[in-house]
Amino acid sequence: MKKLRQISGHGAAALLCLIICSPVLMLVNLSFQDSLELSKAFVPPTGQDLAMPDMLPLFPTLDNFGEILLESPQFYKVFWNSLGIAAAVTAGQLIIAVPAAWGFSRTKLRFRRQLFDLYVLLMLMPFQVTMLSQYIMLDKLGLMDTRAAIILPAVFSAFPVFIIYRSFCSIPEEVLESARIDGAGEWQILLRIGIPMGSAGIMAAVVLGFLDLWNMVEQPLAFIRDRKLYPLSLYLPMLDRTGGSILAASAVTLIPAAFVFVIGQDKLEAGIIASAVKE
Amino acid sequence: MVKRKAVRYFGGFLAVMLVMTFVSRMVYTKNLAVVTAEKVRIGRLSKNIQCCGTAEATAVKTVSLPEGLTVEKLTAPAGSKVSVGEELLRLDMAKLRETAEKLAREIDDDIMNGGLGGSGEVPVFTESDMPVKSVKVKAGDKVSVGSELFTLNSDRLLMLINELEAVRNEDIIGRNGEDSLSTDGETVQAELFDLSISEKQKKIDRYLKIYNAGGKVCAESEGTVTAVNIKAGDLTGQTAAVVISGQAKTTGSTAAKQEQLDKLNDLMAQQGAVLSPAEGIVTKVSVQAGDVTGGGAAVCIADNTEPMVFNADLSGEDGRLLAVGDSASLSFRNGRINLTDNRIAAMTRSEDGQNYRLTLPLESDEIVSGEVGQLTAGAACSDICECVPNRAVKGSGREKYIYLLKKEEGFLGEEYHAERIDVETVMSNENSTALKNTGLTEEDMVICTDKELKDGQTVRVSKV
Repeated sequence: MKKLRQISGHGAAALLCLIICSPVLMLVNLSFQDSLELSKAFVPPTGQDLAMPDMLPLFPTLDNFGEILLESPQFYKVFWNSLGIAAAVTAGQLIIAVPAAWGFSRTKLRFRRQLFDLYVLLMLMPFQVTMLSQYIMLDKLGLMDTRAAIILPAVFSAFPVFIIYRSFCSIPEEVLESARIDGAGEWQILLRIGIPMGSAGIMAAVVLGFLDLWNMVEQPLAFIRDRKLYPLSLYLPMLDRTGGSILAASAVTLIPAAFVFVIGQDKLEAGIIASAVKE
Repeated sequence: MVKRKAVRYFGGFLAVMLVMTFVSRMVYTKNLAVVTAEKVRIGRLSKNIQCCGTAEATAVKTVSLPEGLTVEKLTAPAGSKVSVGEELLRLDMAKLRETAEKLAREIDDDIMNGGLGGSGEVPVFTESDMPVKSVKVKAGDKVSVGSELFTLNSDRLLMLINELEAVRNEDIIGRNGEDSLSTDGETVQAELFDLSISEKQKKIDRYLKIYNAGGKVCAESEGTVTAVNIKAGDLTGQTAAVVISGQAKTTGSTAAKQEQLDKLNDLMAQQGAVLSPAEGIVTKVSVQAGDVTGGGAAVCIADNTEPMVFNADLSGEDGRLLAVGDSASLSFRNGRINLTDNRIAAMTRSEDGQNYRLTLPLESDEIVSGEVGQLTAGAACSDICECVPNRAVKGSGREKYIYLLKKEEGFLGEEYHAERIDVETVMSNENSTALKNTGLTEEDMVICTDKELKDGQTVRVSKV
């Protein structure tokens, strides 16, 4: 009985997992179909109400990947643009967020708590709210239509501070005290104790930040005109939607995000758990 | 362990993407059409129009021979350059003498019959069944030589002439066939053919004379009309149409015979040699050695002493750019003779309406009739147009187009696209073509490409 319950539990979990993964599976499946098969799948014959793509391609082809990977240097241009922006922002966020989070978590400043709450409040504001002020600011700085217009505001994001802050808070005060007794300065404590012990939170911030930046649409759409600077998220909707190249490009776009997630998965879980611990 | 592998694979993935970046750019470059471009120019296009033509004489002298003579030798065939008094052809003396004697006897008979200086009734005949259009005289009218008696229907007359000519030609063919056989028995037959041909030729000449006079039949003697046997609308019959009586003077036909006899005597004096009446080029010879003369023009000579003209045919496209009075230069003998500032005297359109014939007066003592020369005339487009190099204009017939270069900011930086524009051409010279109202100003257009272009295609510009 117990075993039966266990099997049924696993089955339900597998089914749920399949349902959750179905968009990605469908994307990969469709990217191997040619435009003829795709057109039949998405333009059903008269009388049928629903489009019914094949579960497996009837005429699998690599043409879509060939078109996007061999004949479209534009794809690589935007790919490296996306990767560059994501990497630059992530690095910038670490440089800003780690000391900021350490300051919020370990310094004995007055109004520290209130300042942090204000910071969190900024994090809760959606981009649409801050877009206009950002636009005016960037325009005054002469940064419009440059990569800095995306990188600079994102570097000062409150979200990684929030994630890392929770991680730093979980470091026992005794450990830091003993370091101070041993003669370590505040920067030494941060570098030698804070960062290694709060690495889960830092990695969680990196992974979540990268995934967010990799799929970012609004900021480049608002601040960039020059197509040379477009990221993948703006390039994909411009591809021919009737062909399979857009599906192949989407499938390739998933790969870096998947790698980053796999690499930082355990730290991400730990970091999220750490950030969930009540102060 | 999994994390380490994932890091390694991610690194590998990025390395592959880096390599593929180069590969895709190489493939892209290979597929990209490389074009050269040039700016559209606004201006008035000029053109050197060239065409070949011929120097032709305005005066042509014809040499007519009495009918019934035999050509013994043709000395100056068509194309020969002859001077005044130079022998053109030689006639058979025996036949010449025989014809002259025969004609002399006929004149004597005419004189005996009162054709000259006698009195009596002169009947005026025509071929029967000829519709009479109008009658101008009535019995009792006094007429002189050349007075109009009545008018025949010209169309019917022309038909009759054509019929007679066809019959005569058949006789000539028949006679030539007999000549080639040349047996004794058939010599008589040939002479009969000659007689028949001669009679028909006389009729043809007479009817031609009437036809050329608009169908008018005129009196050949002076006197009083004693009988008019026809009226308007009638068909002529076997009887005389009009009878004239009175004191007859020398009739036209006897005078003509006398004139012909004089001519024959002259020819006999020259031992049968027919001489050129002018200096020039023999343009047409209608007889060959052995032929019997038919009485018409045997040789035509373009008179070089008279002014000449240069005639040239020009295509419609070029012809539209020239006008009467425009200046043109002429070149003859591979450029050894050049005549500048010749004005176009006349321009006529060909029957199909597609070509033009230009006529220019030719003032040169060196050029002779028949010489081929080249005309060169400068022409400019009447309006200011967009001018593009000929290589930029694609398509054929009326469907002509050019590709303009459109610069856009693309994912890879500045990108050029070829945009097709349909155009209408006004004129073209050896380098450029003038376009009609394209609205182009300073745009860059594709001059040449290493691959076939399509509208909107991305191209690489090698030179602007």
